[in-house]
Amino acid sequence: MNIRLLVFREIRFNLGGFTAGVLAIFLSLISYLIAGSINADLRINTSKKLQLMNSELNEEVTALEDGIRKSMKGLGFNIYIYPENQDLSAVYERGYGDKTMPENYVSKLANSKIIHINHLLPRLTEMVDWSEKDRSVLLIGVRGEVPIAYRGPNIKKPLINPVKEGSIVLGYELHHAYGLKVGDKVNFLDDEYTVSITHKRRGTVDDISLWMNLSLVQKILNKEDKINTILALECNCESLDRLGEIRNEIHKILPETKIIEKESRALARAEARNLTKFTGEKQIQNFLQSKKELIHIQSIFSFGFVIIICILCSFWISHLTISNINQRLIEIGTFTAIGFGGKKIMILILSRVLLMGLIGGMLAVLLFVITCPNVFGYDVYKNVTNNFSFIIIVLIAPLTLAVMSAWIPVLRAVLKDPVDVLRND
Amino acid sequence: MIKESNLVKNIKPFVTAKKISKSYGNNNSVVVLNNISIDLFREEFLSISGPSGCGKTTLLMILGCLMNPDNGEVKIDNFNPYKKKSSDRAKIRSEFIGFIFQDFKLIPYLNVMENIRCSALPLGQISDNDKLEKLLSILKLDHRRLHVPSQLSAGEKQRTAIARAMITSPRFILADEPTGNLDEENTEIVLKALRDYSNNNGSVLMVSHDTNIECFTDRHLKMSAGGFEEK
Ligand SMILES: Nc1ncnc2c1ncn2[C@@H]1O[C@H](COP(=O)(O)OP(=O)(O)OP(=O)(O)O)[C@@H](O)[C@H]1O
Ligand SMILES: [Mg+2]
Repeated sequence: MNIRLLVFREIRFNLGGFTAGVLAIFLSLISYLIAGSINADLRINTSKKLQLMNSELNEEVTALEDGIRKSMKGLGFNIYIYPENQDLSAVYERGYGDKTMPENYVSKLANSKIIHINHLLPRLTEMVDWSEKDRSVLLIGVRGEVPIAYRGPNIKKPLINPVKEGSIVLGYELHHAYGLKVGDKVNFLDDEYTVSITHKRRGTVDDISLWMNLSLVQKILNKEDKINTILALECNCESLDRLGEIRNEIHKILPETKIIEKESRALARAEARNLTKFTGEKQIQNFLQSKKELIHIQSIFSFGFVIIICILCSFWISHLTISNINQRLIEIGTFTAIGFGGKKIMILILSRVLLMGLIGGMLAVLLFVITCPNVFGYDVYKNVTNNFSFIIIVLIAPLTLAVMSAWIPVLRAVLKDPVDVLRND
Repeated sequence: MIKESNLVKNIKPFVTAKKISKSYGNNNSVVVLNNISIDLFREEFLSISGPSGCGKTTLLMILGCLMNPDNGEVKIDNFNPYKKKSSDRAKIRSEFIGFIFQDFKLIPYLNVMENIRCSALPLGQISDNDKLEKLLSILKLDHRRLHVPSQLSAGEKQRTAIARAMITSPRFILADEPTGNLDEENTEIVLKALRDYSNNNGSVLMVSHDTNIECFTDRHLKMSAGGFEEK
């Protein structure tokens, strides 16, 4: 004979009320576990979808990058080097720069160990009035190619030969309008020159351009030892950020310059790749954001729901305990008369409540362990159970809920004067 | 009349109540016990009779360490239980006192044996099987030992309650109208059991509104509203 036996006998005697209490605890815990599973399910699906989206985007971007690499392969690209203070909008507007830099910049480059650039062409350009013909022309002073010193003189055939002193090269508009041919003499700003080359129509500013020897142009324009751009041709760089790399390289030698790339197909593709990557990432971000909000809202609702269930169950348990105690008032009075202290009586009633919590909790966990992997999948099951708070909640919450719900009625029963129920009526 | 043996052997009573008063209600408007004194000696079977509502049960509760009197002093074996903590009073009840009620107050979910044994629980004792068997046989409960109260007759219930009060061999038994719900035959069994108990080193205080009980007991007191009648 011991307290345990009393508790078990009483439970058997009042099985209905006890079962109802077990059910209340079971419902509370199982609703928590279901809510946790639903939320974990959403979280896991979202991260899977996110992974898929990321890998799709990566594939797409990689394909574009491959395209860029292919189109760049073996094909050099061209850049312009301007003085640092050159306003680039003026360059885009007029087609040439108006600021100058020392001509020896080109020799600095040529004497360096630059690896990405193959040809260096310094220029001095300015729009001038061709007073003899009464029109504006783009006067371009060129020096021909400046050989890159460390590579030796004849590694590559020069792309452009210099214009000899006394010679002049004319764009399409300029020779066509005045019927000039190679070998003809022509006056330009009070001096006579021989036409050495006439260009075909290009449909660009080249058509109204006039090429002369650089030093001559410097003299004409009063800009001795000055140039306003260096054209670097057939630059080779395999990396995607080729412009960045060349900029780095040139800036180490000529820090006071500005580098831009001449438009190219590769450039357009790189832009497309950047755009794809940007919009893809943006899409992923939007998806993530909306899912995050959904997860947030869902967890608020589901746990709100769980809390409501727990509160209802708590009332339920407390009601069950009150009616159990009311039924047992004579019994409690009798135990008091026999010599049970308040503590023993409390243990007697609370053990019943604790057992409710224990059995209800165990049933809920059992049902969860059996059904969750089938209903939500093993990932969700693992996510919910591989969690420290899960263990704590499963171990403690059912018991705490049961005891807390029953606490006040139990305390009232213990503090009640037993004499009232012991008086014979 | 006080048993001769008590006068010789135990001049000092085992339980005494001196000038006890108890009132109920708002502002203590219902005066139930008014300045009454009573002694219970060793091996004495004392009965108290009186009309309904005169305060018999109230007196038993006070002597049974269940209700503090408003005034006066209770002493059990020379100490005042109301000067102790309630947990100590519970211990005194389990060690010294056995209760018997008119309506039995058996635990509904325990069978006869368990009901009897449960009073040994607070003492942390494992109840003595020989004693249990003896009680079952004396009180004619052998064949009912595994029955729960709802399956018992009133007499069987009261016999079970008596066995429960006696299993721990308390120093005294407080019986509140133990025969109130019983037929003649069972009344006789109960009274005999109490008589035997008082003959064997225990004391019994039995209250009843039935004045006929006095012929079974060592000493009898008549109670009227508030106190004892002068004899
Ligand atoms: N809590 C209470 N409040 C007010 N009055 C009470 C209370 N408890 C008991 N009484 C009154 O005290 C008086 C004595 O009660 P008690 O139960 O001691 O009488 P009794 O002699 O045992 O009666 P009975 O023979 O009917 O059992 C009764 O009049 C009862 O109504
Ligand atoms: Mg009474």
